Amino acid sequence: MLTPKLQMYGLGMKLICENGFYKFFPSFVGEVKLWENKNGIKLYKMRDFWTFQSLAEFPNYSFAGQFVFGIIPALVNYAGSPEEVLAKNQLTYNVKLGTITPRALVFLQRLQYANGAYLTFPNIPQAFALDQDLQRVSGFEAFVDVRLNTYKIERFIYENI
Amino acid sequence: MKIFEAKRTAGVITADGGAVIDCPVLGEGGDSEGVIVIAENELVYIPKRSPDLSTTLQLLSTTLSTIASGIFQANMGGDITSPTFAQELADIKKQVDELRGKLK
Repeated sequence: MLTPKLQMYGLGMKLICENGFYKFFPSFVGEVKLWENKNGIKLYKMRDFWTFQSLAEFPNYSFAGQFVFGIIPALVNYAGSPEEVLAKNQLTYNVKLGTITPRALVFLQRLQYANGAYLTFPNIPQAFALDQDLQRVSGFEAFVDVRLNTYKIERFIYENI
Repeated sequence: MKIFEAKRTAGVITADGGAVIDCPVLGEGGDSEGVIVIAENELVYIPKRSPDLSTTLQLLSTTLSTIASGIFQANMGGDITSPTFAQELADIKKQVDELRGKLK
C-alpha cells in the first residue's frame, strides 16, 4: 500500500543507498519491471530488496590482495554481508559505468539536483560524489517516481568515510 | 563467519586461490593443511593436527616393537643379540625429534 507521501508522486519505489550499495524496495513487483523497461537495466532480487547485477553477485568475504570483484584487489580481510565487504574495501557501485569500482573514481563527481521539498535527480545519484556544499555523501534515502523516472531524495547520508 | 580450506607452506598461507596475509596461526607453525576461520575482520588459521598425532602413534608403535623384539632374547635369559637394536632406537628417536620440530 502506498503511503500518502508516495501517492502524491504516483508510483513510489523506495531506493536506499548505504556506502555505495544500492537497494530498491518496490511496493509491488511490477514496479521493478517498469523501472527496468524505462532504464534498460535489469535488477536482481537479493534478500528483501532488488539491486544491480554486480552488487547481487558481490561476495560476502574478501582476502586482502586477492581479487574481490573482477580485477579489483581487496584491501582487507573481511567476512560479513556483501554491503559490509563493499564498504570495507572502499568500493562503490559506479552508476555511470554500471559496475563496481573503487570510490576514488567518483570522488570528483558533483551531484546535480534541483532543490525543493525533495531534492530531485534526473538520474540515480552517485554515492561518494560531492553535494552542492562540497560534502561527500556516503548514501541517501530516496524514492523513485517510476512514472517520471526521477529520483526524489529524502535525505543524504554522511558517514565517516 | 566463514570457513575456508587452507594450506600453510614455508610460512605462506593460501586459501581461496591466493595468499592470505596478516593471518595469525593457531599452532606450532609447521607446514600443514588446515582451515581459515574468518568473522568480520578477525581471522585465524587452524592447522589440522591429526597428521601429527597419527605419526606420533606410528613412531610409538614402532618403538615398542623394536624394544619388544630386542629384549625378547634377554627375557629368555640371554643377551640382546640384535646388532642393530641400538641403531634402530636411535633412528626412531631422531624421527621423533624431527617430528617435534615440524609440529603443525
